[in-house]
Amino acid sequence: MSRGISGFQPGRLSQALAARGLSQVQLASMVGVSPATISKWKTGQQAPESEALDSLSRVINISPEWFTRPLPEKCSLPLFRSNASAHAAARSMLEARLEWAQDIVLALNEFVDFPDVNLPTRSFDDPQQITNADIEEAACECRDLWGLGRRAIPDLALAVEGAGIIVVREETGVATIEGLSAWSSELQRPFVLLSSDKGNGFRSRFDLAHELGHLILHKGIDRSTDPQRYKLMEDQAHRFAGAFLLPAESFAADVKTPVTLDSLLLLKQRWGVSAAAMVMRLWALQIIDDDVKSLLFKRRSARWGVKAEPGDDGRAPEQVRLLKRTVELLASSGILPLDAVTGYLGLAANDIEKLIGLPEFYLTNKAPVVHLAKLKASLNPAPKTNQESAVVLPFNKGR
Amino acid sequence: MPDGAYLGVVNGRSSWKDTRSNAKPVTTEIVRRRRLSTRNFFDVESRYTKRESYLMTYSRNDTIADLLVANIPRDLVMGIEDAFDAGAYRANNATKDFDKKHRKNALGVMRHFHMNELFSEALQVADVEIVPLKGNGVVIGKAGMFKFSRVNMSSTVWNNCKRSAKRRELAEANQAMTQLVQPSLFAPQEITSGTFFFIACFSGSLSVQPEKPLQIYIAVPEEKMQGWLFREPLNQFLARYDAAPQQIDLAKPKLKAHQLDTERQPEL
Repeated sequence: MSRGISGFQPGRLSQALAARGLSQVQLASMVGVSPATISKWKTGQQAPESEALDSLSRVINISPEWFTRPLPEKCSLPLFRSNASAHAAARSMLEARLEWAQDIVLALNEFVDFPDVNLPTRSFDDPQQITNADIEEAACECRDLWGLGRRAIPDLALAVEGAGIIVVREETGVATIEGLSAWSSELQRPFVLLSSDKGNGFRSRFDLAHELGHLILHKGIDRSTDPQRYKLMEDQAHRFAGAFLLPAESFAADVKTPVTLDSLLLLKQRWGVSAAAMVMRLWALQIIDDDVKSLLFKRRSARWGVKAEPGDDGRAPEQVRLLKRTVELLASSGILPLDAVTGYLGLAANDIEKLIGLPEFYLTNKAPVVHLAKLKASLNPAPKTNQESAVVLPFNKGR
Repeated sequence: MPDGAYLGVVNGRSSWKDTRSNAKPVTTEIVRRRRLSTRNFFDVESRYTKRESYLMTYSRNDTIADLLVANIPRDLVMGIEDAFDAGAYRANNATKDFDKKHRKNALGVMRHFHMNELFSEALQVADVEIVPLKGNGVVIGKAGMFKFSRVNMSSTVWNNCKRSAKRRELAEANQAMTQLVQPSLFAPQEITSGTFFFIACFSGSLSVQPEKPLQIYIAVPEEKMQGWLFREPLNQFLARYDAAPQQIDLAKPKLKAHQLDTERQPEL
């Protein structure tokens, strides 16, 4: 580096650009420097001077000191639900958000122990090795490990976080990518980022189970852009999600044949899984054949369209709680007061609130003032106290 | 069902034999598959050894349903459910050409034989049969501390299974279990045995679902068979096996040991 502040981490700038979805040119105009300068900062040929860093941190809304923090080891490359080239920028953004979540957990890990990672171990190195029987077995083993029995899982997010997986659920603005997951080599712990954009509790549960499938089945498998291989891995994660949420022995007993969409709508509320996902599960279990599956999907489209199903609002999206509880624990024990969290983690307060799942303005305590209407004094007279009838009770210290 | 009635219908063998010979290969195949898929599961000794501590510590707080679930393998219950449906279906097929004037009687008798036969097969697969198929006799199985048998009913009033001397004898084992329903004034008695029945309820009419039981129940009789200590439809009872224990909240961070500074803890 020729000049500028010492310790500037170029990787942090790349991360921030990705997380904010900004191009170098856009950032340059906002900071008031040339695009070439940004490029030099990014490649490490040059470091910004303190004034430029101040401006940079204001624009990106991250503390200047954060740019000097060394980058931890990257997570494993996540598998995205959409591999389309049109979503390249969105994928980078989500990857950067996941890295920020890892930063937060690394920082909090100084003070607390998170639940131990408790997942079935599989060592496949090629998706072709994984059979349907392997997937069913992994799903059952996971349920057994977590003590979930074989009925509907009341709160999947709670079970997943209890198994030591860090789950982040935030609005990403990219509804086409429902979630991603990765293993952090630094923490030896898996991370899942779920998009909350659709606000559908049923979809969200299935997305989480899908990511769980990737974490268990594809942990040791290299990511590939080969569409066939990618599709196979997605199908396997889908099959896992179906097997995990709808175990063969108990779900099959609940289903009456011939299957109708209305009977599936009743089961939807009981199992917390959409009718479409149940049709796919019935097909995977060979309870219905290709023709019945097509017929059910055709009727589904004809009756409800493709985007929503009746009863989608019957279940609120499950909330994540592990990181929120950590912040609350540290604050209540006096180790890390709420107003010190932002400084300690280095990120902007609203970013931390979103990633941790805290309510808005929780850290800054700058909630908008709400003026509550008051009753007129005449309508709410002060209660009259009859002092004469009061009895003074002596307080006997000796007893 | 009186013994004489059995003999009367057994004499009309031709139709009975034909149905059996057609259906036999399917059942054998089912049995063979069950044997293969459940070989380890039906390692009865090891399973019951694991339950031994539970079985020996019954108290009034244990419900009869819990005892049944702890003693009877889920697959056995499902196997018997299938056996009843298949037996009733075969009996209906075997008697559908009979004259209306005695078809109802023939159907009842055939149900006894076909359902007894398939019930026996299911018990053999699970390796729990103690009184095998023989003549008109009742097939009896044993699961954990329970002995069990089957009963067919064709009315809503559950009063006809008392007529069987064998079933009355079996029911006597439920003397100690009565305390779970009606607490006694004396010290709780240890429950070491019991009896239950799989009861197939039919409509009693040839025009309402004669090929299949309307409902199958699992029921624990009172010791003198004057009532029922427990009675539940089988599909409802099966759900007890899958009941998830209450989800435990493990998503809790713990402060690291060196952070536990008592001076900073708020006073309780």
